[in-house]
Amino acid sequence: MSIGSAPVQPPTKPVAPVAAPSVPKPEPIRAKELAGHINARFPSVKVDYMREKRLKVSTTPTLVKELALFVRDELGFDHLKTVSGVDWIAKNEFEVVYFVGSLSKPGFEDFIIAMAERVPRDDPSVPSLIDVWLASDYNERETHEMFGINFQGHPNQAHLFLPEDWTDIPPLRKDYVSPGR
Amino acid sequence: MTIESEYSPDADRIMAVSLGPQHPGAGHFRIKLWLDGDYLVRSEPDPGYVHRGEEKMREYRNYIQNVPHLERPVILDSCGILLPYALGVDELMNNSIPLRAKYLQVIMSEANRIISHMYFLGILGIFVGHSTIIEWMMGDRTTGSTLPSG
Repeated sequence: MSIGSAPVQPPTKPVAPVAAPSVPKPEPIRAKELAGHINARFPSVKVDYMREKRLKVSTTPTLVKELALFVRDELGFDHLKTVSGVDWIAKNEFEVVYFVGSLSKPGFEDFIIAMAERVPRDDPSVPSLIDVWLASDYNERETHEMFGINFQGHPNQAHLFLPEDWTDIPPLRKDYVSPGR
Repeated sequence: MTIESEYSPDADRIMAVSLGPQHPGAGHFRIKLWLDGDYLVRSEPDPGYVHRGEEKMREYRNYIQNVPHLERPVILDSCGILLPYALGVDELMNNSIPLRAKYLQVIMSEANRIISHMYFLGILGIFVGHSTIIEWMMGDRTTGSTLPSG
């Protein structure tokens, strides 16, 4: 082949990367035990096994406080990691998620339960869990100002991060458009 | 000042003091204190305007464009924030990770964690008046910083 000739095309197209098949993961014994405890007490609550050491409990605002007390006192999950919000704008719903772990339950130090509750976007009001985990104070305040979710029973929902003169809708909602976009 | 009017059961006794912000590098954090003589009656932390809206900025960008941007808020431990982000993206895209990449992820995160501790020790040395120690720590830190380039 002389120099300067047209480059030789590869004979076949490059192989596209194939996504790994999603195989159902085995549910380890610890998660099964916890899910059994929760479902025995709250049959209406949906418990999902997300992965190793991670459990998601889908509940409702009316049931969440009772469930939180059960998770704290009976299951021993005494440490609140964080509170986060999700804006499901297509379903017209907000989701509030409490991530709780344990510092005292032997063998469950690496385990996290995510307690999720959904509220309609038109009236986003959930009970505050500050009586259950005191650490939810500032986390709920941030979720309140970023998503506009009202935490009933929270003593102070003043602005923490936002400017005092903020008049727009809460900035982490999906329908908030950043300036310049 | 607004700070007095927020807590005034006895306006003559209670004094409002702002503890901080000390230094821009400390994150402009202050604590509002209400004092009754030597007694602290109430305190309220005020983090200042530190929320950069990183989550909102992520919504406008491609997943790969977020990578350099995510490192900015975490000055010292940039691999520590990128590893969970990469794990999340890989899970959403259903990627299969080669074993070599998994090793690299762990090595980089651990090296980054160690050199961020070294930075802490160096700054601590300055605070206690031993300014040589930051030279030692910065020297050892270079070993970790040059690790990805061999």
